[in-house]
Amino acid sequence: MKNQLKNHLIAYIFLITGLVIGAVAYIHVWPNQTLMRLVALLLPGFYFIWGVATHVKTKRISVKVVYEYAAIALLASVTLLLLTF
Amino acid sequence: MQWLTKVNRVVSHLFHPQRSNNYRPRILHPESLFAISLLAIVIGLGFIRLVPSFSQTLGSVLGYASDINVASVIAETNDQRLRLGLKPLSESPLLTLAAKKKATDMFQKQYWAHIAPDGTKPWHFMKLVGYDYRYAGENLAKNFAVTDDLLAAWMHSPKHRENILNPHYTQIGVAVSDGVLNGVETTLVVQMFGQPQHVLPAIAAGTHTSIQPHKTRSKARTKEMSESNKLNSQVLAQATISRPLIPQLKPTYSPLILIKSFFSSIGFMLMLVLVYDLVMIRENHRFRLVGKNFAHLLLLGTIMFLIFYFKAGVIG
Repeated sequence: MKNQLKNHLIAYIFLITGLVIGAVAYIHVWPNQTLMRLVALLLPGFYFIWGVATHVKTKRISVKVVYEYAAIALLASVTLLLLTF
Repeated sequence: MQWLTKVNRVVSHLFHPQRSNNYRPRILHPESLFAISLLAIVIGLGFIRLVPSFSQTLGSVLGYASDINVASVIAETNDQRLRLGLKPLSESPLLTLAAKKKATDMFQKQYWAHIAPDGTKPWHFMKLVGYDYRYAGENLAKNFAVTDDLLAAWMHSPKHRENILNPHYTQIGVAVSDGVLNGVETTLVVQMFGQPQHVLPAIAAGTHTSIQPHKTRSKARTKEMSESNKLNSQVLAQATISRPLIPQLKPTYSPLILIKSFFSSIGFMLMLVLVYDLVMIRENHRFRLVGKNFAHLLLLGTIMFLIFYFKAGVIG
């Protein structure tokens, strides 16, 4: 894991920044349900794009990897969306 | 003992990286994650839609518990005004009665909006109680647990903040009503603001007022929300402030708590499996073409944080 972090430091910094911004945005727009739902779609969307992009960059991409990121992003999105009902 | 072996095999297949699952716990495979997402949608929507159908059986177990009361809402509203150098609002029995009627109307007709499905506007309730206004406004909220969160939400929203800090308003009426809205026990908060056409003496909360009925012809002046008031108004003979004295059991579970509990358990389980998988693969020095566990942990950690942080409450 340490090697993974070292080799992909910039990518992880970018990910953490995006997740923090997304989390702050979700908290900040409360209790505006429409904006919360928008963040609930954008944050996992960002994560999916990040995942696919980093794997493409390292040339370690496959259909299963794309599906995995899509599935995790979908689960995150569903969780955040259902909280707003 | 055979069943124990079978269970062990299934559990290992699901949670332990081994040859049968291509050295990736089955539960972390995309198909399983999609299945969990689908299950989450079904269960989540079930909590929201179907559980309230059983509210009659569950009684007061299901719903939102709230510690909000009229006095605290008015006090905190005036706190916000005083901070910006505005005059505090005095409590108007007529506006309070109008707010109460609005809350009752929402419960009776089962809607959550400023304008009722039949087109009834908030000002109708003010006119009903005989509140002759020059300026008027309304804030709504539901399912908040504490007054601090309620005021924070209103102050965070430009339109609601504008109502609270409007210098034209001189009076306020608040209703905090418990009832069942769309099958869920709900606490509604209706805040009505106004400036009367004719200045009335300030009335202390909880007192009875006796006003001689009279007819007035009022001219339309500048109104909030483009409302004009050209109707003859008749002041009520008596206005009282009261809350129902029916003792109510505080609800224990809300759909939100159920959803948070469910998703927290799923999230924690996945995070544990991801950490376990990371440790196992590192020890076995295996190469796999899979998603980054650490990245998944970061995302799930963020979602868990938001689940715990998320507060109930909707403003309108």
